[in-house]
Amino acid sequence: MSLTSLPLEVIGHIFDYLELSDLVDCSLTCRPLYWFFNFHHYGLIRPIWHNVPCHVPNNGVSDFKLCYRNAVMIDATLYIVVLSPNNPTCWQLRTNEKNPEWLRIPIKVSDQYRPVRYPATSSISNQIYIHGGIDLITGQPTNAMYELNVNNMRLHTLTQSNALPCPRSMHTLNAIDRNHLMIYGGQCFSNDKPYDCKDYATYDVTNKSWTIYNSVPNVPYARSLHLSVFVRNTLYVYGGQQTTYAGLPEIHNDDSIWAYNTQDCRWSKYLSPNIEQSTSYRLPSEWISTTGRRQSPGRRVGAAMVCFGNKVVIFGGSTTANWERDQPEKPWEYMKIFSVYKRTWDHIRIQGLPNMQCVAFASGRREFFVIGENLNTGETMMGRILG
Amino acid sequence: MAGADQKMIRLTSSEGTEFLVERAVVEKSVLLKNMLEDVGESDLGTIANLTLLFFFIPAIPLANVTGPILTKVIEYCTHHRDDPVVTQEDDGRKSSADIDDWDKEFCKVDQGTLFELILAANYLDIKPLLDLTCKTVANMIRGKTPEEIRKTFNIENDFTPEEEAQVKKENEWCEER
Repeated sequence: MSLTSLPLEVIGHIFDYLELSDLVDCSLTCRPLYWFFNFHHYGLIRPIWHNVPCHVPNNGVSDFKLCYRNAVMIDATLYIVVLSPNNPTCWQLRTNEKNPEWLRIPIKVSDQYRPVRYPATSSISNQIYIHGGIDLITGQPTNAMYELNVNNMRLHTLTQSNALPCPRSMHTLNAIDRNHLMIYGGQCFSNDKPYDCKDYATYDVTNKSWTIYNSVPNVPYARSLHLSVFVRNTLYVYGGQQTTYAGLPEIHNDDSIWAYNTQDCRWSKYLSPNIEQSTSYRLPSEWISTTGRRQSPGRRVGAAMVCFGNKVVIFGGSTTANWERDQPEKPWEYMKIFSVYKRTWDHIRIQGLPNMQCVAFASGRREFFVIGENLNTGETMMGRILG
Repeated sequence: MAGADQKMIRLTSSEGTEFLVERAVVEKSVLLKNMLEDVGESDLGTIANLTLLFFFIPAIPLANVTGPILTKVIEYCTHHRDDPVVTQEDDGRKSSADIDDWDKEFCKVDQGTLFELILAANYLDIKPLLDLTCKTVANMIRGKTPEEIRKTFNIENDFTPEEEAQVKKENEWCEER
């Protein structure tokens, strides 16, 4: 009987009594303890990127570049809804097949259909909801809302009562329970000039009405093209872009993660660890400091954010400056991991992860499905990260 | 020695050695406590005549626990029989400083025995014993270099030189203060 032959759960008990520095020393002794440490600390053992051939049919290439960020995963099937002027389409991919193929399914639309680009999407059971975007006929943001049933591929225009949130694009839509969707942020237009907003609103799919929240204190800074993920009563918001006075987009300078609790309807802000070092004054109570032996993901646009276990992970995307100074070669291979309970940052290398803007979905206990655009070659690519 | 009114339980180790243990001591193990509750009071009864005991009480076989380890486990449970049941602590960070003298002495065993005790505590679901033994192992790791940890636990370094360099590199820019 030796230390390394103890079961994983028992090693976990021992590790619970040790500080990170001791755990790291332990992980450097041999392979089994290295794997145990990774599993205990990151929830992943040896994450590796596996490329999945992405045969996008010719007529879909441009659609994919524009629309992959709106991909929705329902029961291991990925849906990309493209509301184009002539042939509104829903692309389908069964991600649990070994070599999945894209299926092109025409959408049946009604008279009120308007083509849009850069809308926000989400799903509740087998309905995909599509909100806002740029109306391709007027060129202006819209606040139209659609419901697509993935079983019969019929697109319905949803009625919306009460005050409507202002028309916008490049915002986020998340299902926050079985009956409610929440939008946050996005880019609006005022006198043809774009500006980012920071209001949020919830839509009740049963009575088709909106509730707008615009006088809540401590709301994340205005942004568009940001990331959001909803898990266990909390909506996490991170990154994205901000629109300058000249109307041009730049990577948002806020590197915090914001969390909205749907139970008490409050936002809190997880500061990045480097901020904590430089501030000595007392922080507002909704600002939560974090620590960590690694930097937070910094400022990014086009990254992927996923929740698994009690962790929020961020990887990929484009960032300001030359990634981070603490990372040697291939900095894009590092997945940033935030432990919500411990409030600590760390990272783990995903061997072979391409330098890409992407979206990701947790597809198993230690597995992610990723789709995005390779930043070096510009090609659309897919893959699995197996932890 | 237990009084005649004390309910007794028979435990059988993996080699077949039998141990006669008071129920209150046995019940430190959540696994055995649940088993006894499932069997029910009536089957066990209070048996006044100790000589009849062996015929009336079915033994609980513990195929995963050897005699010497079971002896240690019973010693621990007997000493701690009156401790209050610790409720689940939800706090993330656990403390490992608070080991009392008796427990410290109890854990002065060879490593093989210590690991067997951990497995037994895990299997029998005796949380305080599992905590104690895991703390003891954690204390043996704390503050040591990887090479010292290898020596302490007789761990063979099975990394290839390339892997070891890689793993070291991954962990070298520690920013924790």
